[in-house]
Amino acid sequence: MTEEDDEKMILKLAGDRIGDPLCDPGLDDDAFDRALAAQLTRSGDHDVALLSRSVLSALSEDSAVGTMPQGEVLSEPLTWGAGFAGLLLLFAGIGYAAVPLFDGGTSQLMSDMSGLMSLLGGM
Amino acid sequence: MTTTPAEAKDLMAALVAGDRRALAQLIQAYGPGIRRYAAQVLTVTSEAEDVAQEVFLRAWRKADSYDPDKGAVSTWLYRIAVNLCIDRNRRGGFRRFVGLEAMPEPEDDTPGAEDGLDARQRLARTRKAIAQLPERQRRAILLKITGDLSTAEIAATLGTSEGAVEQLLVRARTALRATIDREDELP
Repeated sequence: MTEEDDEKMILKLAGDRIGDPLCDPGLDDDAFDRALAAQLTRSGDHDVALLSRSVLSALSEDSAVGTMPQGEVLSEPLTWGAGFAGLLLLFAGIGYAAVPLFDGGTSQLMSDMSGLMSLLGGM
Repeated sequence: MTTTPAEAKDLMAALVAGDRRALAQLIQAYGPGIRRYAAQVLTVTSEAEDVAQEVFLRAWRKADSYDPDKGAVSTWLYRIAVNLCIDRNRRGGFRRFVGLEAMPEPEDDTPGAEDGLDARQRLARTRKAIAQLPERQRRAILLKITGDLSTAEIAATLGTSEGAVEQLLVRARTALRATIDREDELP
């Protein structure tokens, strides 16, 4: 770049700085706020047609579908609950049936493991 | 369209009665400011429209919880907006931390080609300066410049005193002037 190009660049930057209201040290607070607001405002900001349409559409969908009851976590809670209880009883029965099969050492091991599991479960 | 505080309260009363035209008028009155606020506060700027939509949906669903004796409609709406933006940023931050969401792409919300390089550079500089402010100063100054709220309204929105808001605004302006001035120094 030549010296002439450097000078043009400096003058351009100076012009930018001078033209920018936020760089004016004499600006009072209200004028500073207005200048900030002007910089952050984009063309079309005041157009809320799309926003309005999307809000009203969402309301129409809410009305059409209806509000989901808060309690509908499970579709058939009784069936699921009964199934869970049935599984608990099944494995409890298997466990009791299997007790005579364990010798002393295995029984002690199982007792220790169940103690550990209950400790972990409590944590 | 300028809506006076009294007119806004009448619109809220109509909202409670289920008048959707009142909702449309509220959106017309407060939508631009709320959307501008969200665009400056949210980490992902493109979510501003979603947040603005959610603000008015909540206003519709909870219109009966608005008490006209306790504050202006603008305060009530902007409080919803402030809280929604906080939640959205928090959730988004957690999701990005655990890798459920990619980091947002740098937003290209420049004013438009016809506005030229100068305006784009100034906007980027200003947005960066605002983002560097402490959170409460940022919220206060953005409520002022995007929503044009009064000091009393900002205080009610943020749940603090007018004196505290004045302090926040003074500090925010000082910091912004210093940052913008520093970044604009000639080489």
